[in-house]
Amino acid sequence: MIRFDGFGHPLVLVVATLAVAALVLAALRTPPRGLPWPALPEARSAGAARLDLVRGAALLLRAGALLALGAVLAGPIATRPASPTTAPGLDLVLAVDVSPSMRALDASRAGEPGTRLALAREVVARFAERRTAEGDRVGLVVFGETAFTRTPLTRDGAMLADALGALRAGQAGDATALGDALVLAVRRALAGESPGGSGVPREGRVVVLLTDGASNAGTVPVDVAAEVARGADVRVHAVGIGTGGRVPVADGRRVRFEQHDLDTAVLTQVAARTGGRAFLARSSADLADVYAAIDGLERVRRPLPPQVRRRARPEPLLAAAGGLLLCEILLARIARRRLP
Amino acid sequence: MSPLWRLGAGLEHPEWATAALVLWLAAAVAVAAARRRARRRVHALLGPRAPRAHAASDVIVLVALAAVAIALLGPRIGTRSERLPGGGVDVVVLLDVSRSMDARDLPPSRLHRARRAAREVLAELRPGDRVALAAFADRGVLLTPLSQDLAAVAELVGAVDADLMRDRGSDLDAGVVAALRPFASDEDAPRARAVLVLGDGERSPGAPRGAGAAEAIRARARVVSVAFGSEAGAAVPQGDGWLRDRNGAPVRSRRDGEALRAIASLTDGAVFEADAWGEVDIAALAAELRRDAGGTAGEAGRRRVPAVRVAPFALLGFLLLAAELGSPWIRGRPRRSWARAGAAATAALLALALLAPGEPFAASDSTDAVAALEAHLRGHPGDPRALLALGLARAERGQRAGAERAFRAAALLARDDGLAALAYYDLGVAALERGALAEARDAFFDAVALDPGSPRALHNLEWTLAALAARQQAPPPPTLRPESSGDRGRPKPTPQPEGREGDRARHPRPAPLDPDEVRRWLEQAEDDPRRGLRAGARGSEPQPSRDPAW
Repeated sequence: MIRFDGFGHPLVLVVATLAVAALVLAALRTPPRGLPWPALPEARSAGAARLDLVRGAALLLRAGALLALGAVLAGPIATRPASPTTAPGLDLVLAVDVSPSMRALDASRAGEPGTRLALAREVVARFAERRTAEGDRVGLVVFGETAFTRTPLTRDGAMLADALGALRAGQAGDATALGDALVLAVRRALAGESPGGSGVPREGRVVVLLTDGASNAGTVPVDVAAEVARGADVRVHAVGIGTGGRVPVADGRRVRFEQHDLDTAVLTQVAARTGGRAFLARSSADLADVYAAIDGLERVRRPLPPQVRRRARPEPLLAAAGGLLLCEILLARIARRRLP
Repeated sequence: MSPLWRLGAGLEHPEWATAALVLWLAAAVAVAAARRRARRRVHALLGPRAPRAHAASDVIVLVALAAVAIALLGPRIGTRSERLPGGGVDVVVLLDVSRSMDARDLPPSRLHRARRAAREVLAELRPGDRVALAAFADRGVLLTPLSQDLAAVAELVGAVDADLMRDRGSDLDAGVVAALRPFASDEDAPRARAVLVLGDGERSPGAPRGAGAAEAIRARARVVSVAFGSEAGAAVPQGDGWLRDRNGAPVRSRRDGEALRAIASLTDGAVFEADAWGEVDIAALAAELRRDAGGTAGEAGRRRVPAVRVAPFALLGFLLLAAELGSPWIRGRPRRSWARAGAAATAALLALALLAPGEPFAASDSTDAVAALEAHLRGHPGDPRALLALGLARAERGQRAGAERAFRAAALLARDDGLAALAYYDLGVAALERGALAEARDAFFDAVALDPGSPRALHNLEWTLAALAARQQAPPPPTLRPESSGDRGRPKPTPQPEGREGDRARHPRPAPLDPDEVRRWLEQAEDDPRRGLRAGARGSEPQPSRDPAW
């Protein structure tokens, strides 16, 4: 949000205001030009006075335009929040399961039935945008039969939200390679340790793993992946999603029922080994609560003043000056033009 | 024509130009018409005795309105130098994946050579630099956001292939516009910015021109290009044969540096040409990309940006309107005292404008973490967290002595042992950076005393003690490689003794992995970057949702 933050040269505004005040007073005390009218001096000497509203309004508009221009010359400054460059933050990698079972229709959005993936996209995107806005770096790893990096660690919350919004169930194959995904996510979370490192102090590295099934593919066993995360000092929060059992699954325009079971024991084990927590989201409200809980768990103390960017911002004042001047022209030089 | 002149030409808000011009013309025409009507009425009333109407008042007001309108559009006149606090460079690597990049005049293909050059350049960048990846053919697509994870982006670069886009024409401007997307949300961020175009410069006939350069100037980004391909050109493969024109003759693709040179010239960029073997001077290319960034981590950089001159036009408008208001030969004879006062004040304003250095009265842009923290500390003296952050910010800018002072103050003022330990740790790293091993040892001792569980403080203490011993025995001591200015001196991750949860006992614990095993598993982690890129390329296309709507 942009905020006005004073003037670079306030003295100029004072001088301009004095000039405008003096000129307006001089103009007010100047008799307006007009056609000679034989009886006018007599009428004036008898005390007749004429309220010239048009002239008064035109003077007011001119004074406003001049003051706005004076304010432009004084260098108006606006501030807006800048992305923090020295604030402490976390490196968070979101690992999201996009196996075909994420098409199961046991989630709901705004009271309407929807797929698990649609709900996950929405909740996780909100989480990612919130964390990046606070100064954390967030990455996205997507997995199914294989795992791939969709976005490396970044502070671009909008692009993360776009990437999450474009996820499709089945785009990473038809199985679930939980171990591979976890190791890849840990590797991405450690980007700050690489030679092309972070440049910003990191207060922790966290993986949030979201899945709705059991590991049935990949080359890395899940317990080994958990040990890798532990050895690399990366906390893993594991989130299981779905009601389990026979669930309706969208298949084009049809729905069929399939058996999908969540391996909660493995998720609990992974979380426990790495110092994280395991969560189970049986409903759409649960999932939002889970990410809110993770948000609360992974807090970094940020008592520092928010960084702001200051820049000259004369546009609103120039627009005001132009608008006032146009109004004056319309009133005093077009609609109610004086003779001569 | 000087490139810098062209960089500093144009308008900051060209999108308002049409509306401003139409409004001004409408006002001028309406005033002229009203003036003619008034003159006819006066002549009808007074005939030949009608006084002569002066046009000066209308002309002055209309000229003043024009001056205000020009100021509002933000005229760019010349350039100015802008300071960039140390923080590296943001580079968007833009790969041309049009069909002509399959030509084999640079074997195995131009695209292959371009990918290789991109990866080599990424390896030359420094900690703190950020990179994004984009590609273009018929359209441009941003594949990854800006990230400091250069290794991940390098892996993705290697996976960019000819199948990334369905339509494989060539629209460089669309590519540049897509590549500038990461800068859109923070247009005036004080970081050096560059778009690295790797392509052959060929454009599809009829592809629009000019939008890329205009957007790049607005985003303060330089466009640095590398042209691949040969002057002689080569046929373009298609399927099992060659791409052919309407007459059945093979299409011959040649390197076309003109478009790349034009956009580089407009944006104060540069063009490199790959040699006959597809080799590029990578060191020079990386130096060109980092030209505006600081020389070393934390050192401030500078860049040339267009100078937006608002104040002269606003001043002209003010003076004209003030003169019209106070002029006796236009408005009649005013009271002398007030008119004199007004004239004096206006003259004072004019004097201030003429005497002010540089752009009169324009507030300059500024973002400075150090200044912000120092301002905060003036209001909250002794805030240890702010002092610690100030130390880090100063260290990033290369102000080592100031950084050490801030760390020491933070350590002394912190009531929280953890925070004090962190401050002593950073103090130790700062001492190490200037080679003061004994001071570093003392600081790390204090850090360990306050936080005995800190693995990085323990690691650095052990290292420092070993270095001191080595110095006494046989010079030279081993060199410590601080990994980055912010993550300074952090040792490689070591296994934590225990996690937080107490329920581990319920699960059988496999044998813990030693750091080498962890590293090996991580190195072997399989990524599928092609899927990631395709998801990125498709994600930018409008697609119907496959989720059923109920």
